[in-house]
Amino acid sequence: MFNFKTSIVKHTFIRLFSVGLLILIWAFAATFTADVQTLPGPALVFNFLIQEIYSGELSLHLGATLFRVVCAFIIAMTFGTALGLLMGIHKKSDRWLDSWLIVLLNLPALVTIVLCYLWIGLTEVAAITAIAINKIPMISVMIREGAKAFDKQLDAMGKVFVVSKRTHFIHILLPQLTPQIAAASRSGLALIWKIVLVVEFLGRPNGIGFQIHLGFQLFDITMVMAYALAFIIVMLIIELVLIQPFERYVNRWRAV
Amino acid sequence: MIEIDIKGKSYGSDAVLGPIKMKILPKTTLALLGPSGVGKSTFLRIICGLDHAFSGSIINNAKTSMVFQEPTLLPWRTALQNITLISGANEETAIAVLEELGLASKQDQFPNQLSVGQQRRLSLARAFAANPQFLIMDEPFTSLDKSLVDEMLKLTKKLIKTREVTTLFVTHSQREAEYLSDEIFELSGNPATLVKQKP
Repeated sequence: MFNFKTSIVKHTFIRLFSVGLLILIWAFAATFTADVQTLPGPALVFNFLIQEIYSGELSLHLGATLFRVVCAFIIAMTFGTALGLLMGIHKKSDRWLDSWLIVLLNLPALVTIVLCYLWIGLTEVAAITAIAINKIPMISVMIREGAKAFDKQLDAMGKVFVVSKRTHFIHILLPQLTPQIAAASRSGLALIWKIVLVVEFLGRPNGIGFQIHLGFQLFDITMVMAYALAFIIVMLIIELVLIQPFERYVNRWRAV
Repeated sequence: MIEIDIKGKSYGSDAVLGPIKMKILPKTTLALLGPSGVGKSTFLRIICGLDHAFSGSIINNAKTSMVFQEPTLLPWRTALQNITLISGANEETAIAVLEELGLASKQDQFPNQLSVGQQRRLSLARAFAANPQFLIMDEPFTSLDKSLVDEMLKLTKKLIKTREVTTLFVTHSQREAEYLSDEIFELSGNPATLVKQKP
């Protein structure tokens, strides 16, 4: 018989074992290279991380990066979802905007960042705008494909029963987009934080990207790895504590 | 009273419906028979107000609700929410209707936790919870076995009678039509027109 608790324990064990294995490979590789300027071992990187936590540096830079990630994520999800919905529901809008979307999808992130800094200046607004512009097209494409597959029967049912526009949107349309929204959120967060680092690398006075830039200039690989690791851990926590439980909640009807 | 005066309906050069004129008197139940593909769904879409691209007119000021061929439920909402959100009925009314249809114990379950028969009953419950003056039923008993059809027919007849709802019942079963309706019409021909069956 299937035992849910045993299954969870087993999965958690496999996950932890897998992470442990990765750290072990890293430690072996560091021992093998035997050069902290090339590949510092896990102990050295974690020690550096702890020092940065105590000095308050990590929270300062982590906070700045998180702020940019959250702002850009909210803006990109809002505009991307709205645009995707419009294009998915109205064929005319799709025909008009499709070429624009292709242009934006193929615009390199670096070009958008440089242009935003040149047009708006080296400001927080420019940084967040650049990140959001990079992500909006991808979210729009995902949502558009979901909206194109809306169930016409449910739509007709809503019209026959004359449900309000609000109810129609929240209870009939939006739940059909849950898989696309979840995928866009997950890939969005992963992509956004990578772009944030480039944005910070190029033109911000704080943040993980700025610290990585500093580490690059000082040729301090321990610093580069420690800051990258710190943010990876934070993003993993966000995934485990926020995204996955939210996804489980909205998809609870599928699980029964 | 619902007045239907369709002069014609075409999809491109393909005429689907010919002239159809009928009046549905209050509190009567009309059955509409016809083979698959004759244009029953098109006819219903016009009456429901889902299709406006036809020549003619429909006068329907009655509060309308519908039981679809498939249950057409929101799979991500519970049985109770499927009624309250869509029909606009309050929780008390929705629970009363669920009880009437033998689904009281299922109110917190999602549609995919219900059997096909229970899903059909939920669809029926939603339609009646809206407290309609005009009810349209589009082959609501398709794909059910005979005993379940009989049970649903009995239940539907009782609900229509107690609530005095004007009903248009679309089916391809003469037996179902005779059991439930006061008058039977047939949709036939190409383009389809309406013929009243002799009593």
